[in-house]
Amino acid sequence: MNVKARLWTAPAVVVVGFCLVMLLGLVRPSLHTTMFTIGLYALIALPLGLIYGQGGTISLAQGSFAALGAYTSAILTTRYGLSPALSIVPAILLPALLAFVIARPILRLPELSLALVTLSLGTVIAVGLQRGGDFTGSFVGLSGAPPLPIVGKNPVGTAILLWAAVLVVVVMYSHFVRSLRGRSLNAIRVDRLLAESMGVNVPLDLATLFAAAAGIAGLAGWFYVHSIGYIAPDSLGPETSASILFMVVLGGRRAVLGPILGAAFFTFANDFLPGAESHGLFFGTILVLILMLSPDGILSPQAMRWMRRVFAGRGRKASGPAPPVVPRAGEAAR
Amino acid sequence: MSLSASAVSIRFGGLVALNNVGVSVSPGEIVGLVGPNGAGKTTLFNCLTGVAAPQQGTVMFDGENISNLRLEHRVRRGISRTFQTPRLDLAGSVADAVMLGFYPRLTQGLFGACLPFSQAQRTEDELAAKARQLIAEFQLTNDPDSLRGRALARPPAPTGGSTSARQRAALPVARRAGRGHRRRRPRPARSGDSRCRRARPRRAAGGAQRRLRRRAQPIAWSRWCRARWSPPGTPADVVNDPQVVGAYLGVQRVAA
Repeated sequence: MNVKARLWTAPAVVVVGFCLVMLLGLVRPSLHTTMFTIGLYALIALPLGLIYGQGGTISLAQGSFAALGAYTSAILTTRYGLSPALSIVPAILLPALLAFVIARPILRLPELSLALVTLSLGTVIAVGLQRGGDFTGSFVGLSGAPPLPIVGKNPVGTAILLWAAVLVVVVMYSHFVRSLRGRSLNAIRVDRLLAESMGVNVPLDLATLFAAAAGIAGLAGWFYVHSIGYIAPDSLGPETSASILFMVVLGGRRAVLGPILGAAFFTFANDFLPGAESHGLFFGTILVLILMLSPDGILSPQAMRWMRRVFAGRGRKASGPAPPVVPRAGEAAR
Repeated sequence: MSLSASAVSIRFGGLVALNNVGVSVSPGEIVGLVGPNGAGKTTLFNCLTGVAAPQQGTVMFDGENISNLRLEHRVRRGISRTFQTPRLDLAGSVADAVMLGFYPRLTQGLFGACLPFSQAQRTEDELAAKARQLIAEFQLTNDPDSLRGRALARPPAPTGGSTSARQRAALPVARRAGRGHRRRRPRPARSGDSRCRRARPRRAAGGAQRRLRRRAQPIAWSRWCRARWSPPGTPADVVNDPQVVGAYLGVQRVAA
């Protein structure tokens, strides 16, 4: 498979998977709502996969950035009568701007401190939204947000619009990691001094990507509030951030499709498991087991190489002697 | 078009690493720096390339004071730096590692790199082809896309291990060669350098050969020996020069 084709593997998998599940949804309509939830989580988790899996910059504020986007849009549409088609711009820009400003001082911290600082940042945002009085609806939250433009309240249309956004992010992500900029992001994770000695402006690049991740989370928040119609402090917040990180780590932080796989796993497990109290037990056990077997998550480069070898072996049997297949480094991850 | 440092001092706590040091390099000149362990060779390089900031003194490049510029900004002005241990992503391929060297020539922004069918993607193809040329020229590997990155970083095996060490030493040079820079900073010499000398591709195409085989004009500098001289002769003469040997191994060894 040549390089150009590899760039389109992940988007193709997303399109095919989405179509299959939506067709199954004709038999079982609840799948459309499930698909919406998966897409929502995937949209928040994908940029975290980029900055954490490729750039080594962890963030536990993604859920709160999504809440910020959702509240921004809800306040603008319900109080000031703005159309959702217009409020999408501030819903993306406000979290991105906040993230960009805050990124400069915090992104030089080591991983564990960064996790704690972003967690505190998310908590500050969550508390701020909770204690915002009438302006943010306090503990009750805001209701009456108008439905999404174009698709309205149609669950199929909503899922398609959301997954179109996911697809755009996946296409951009795949192209980015195969570009020189993406390579430099990997260099930052592996060895900061190496990246600097190559001329990479590390603080600016990381801050920009951190802000982009927050902006995409804000977009997910916009989708959330205008499809469900209301937003409360419990809807999105630090707990969502933790779940999002779980999805990224479980699904595979080095692979483009890892966060989506993690989001699908998380959503289906939530649907099928009985009793919300026992979820933590189940997810914790799964995470420990998976990370023991494959430290990079389910879609790790090693796992993908193994799969390719299996498939290549099968292909050779079918079509006679084929040229030897060389396992390629990190092919799956890019 | 010249690089110079004057009256540079760096101290780490009570330890004076550099005390009032000056150096200047003019265009086309190749300068080596020798001295015993702890003489401050690496610190001087760090100071010239921006890894460490001088507490006193100035570093000038092309008539511009670059003392307070960060490493990446100096790189963009045309100074490059290699390290004593080659730095690379162990899980990446050699092609990726070499292509990283093209970074300073990059013009598109972060957003452009994300878009399919954009100028950035076309540039990417050209750079990939150039990286393959460089890999062939420096004989880094036969399979630029495979896991050779990992093999390059592996400690040399007892038999035939020098191949790996040769490739590891040549990788940063190839990276810089792709950049088309005006000046390359040699890294400080270290033990086991005879192996690095073998790193020069003997049968390589003209360009690489010229780059690597020009005669060195060393400056010997250390806390004890501040003489500056330009001995005529081949690299072998320089290596056997009593002053050079003395700087590395101590004066008794020369007498013996």
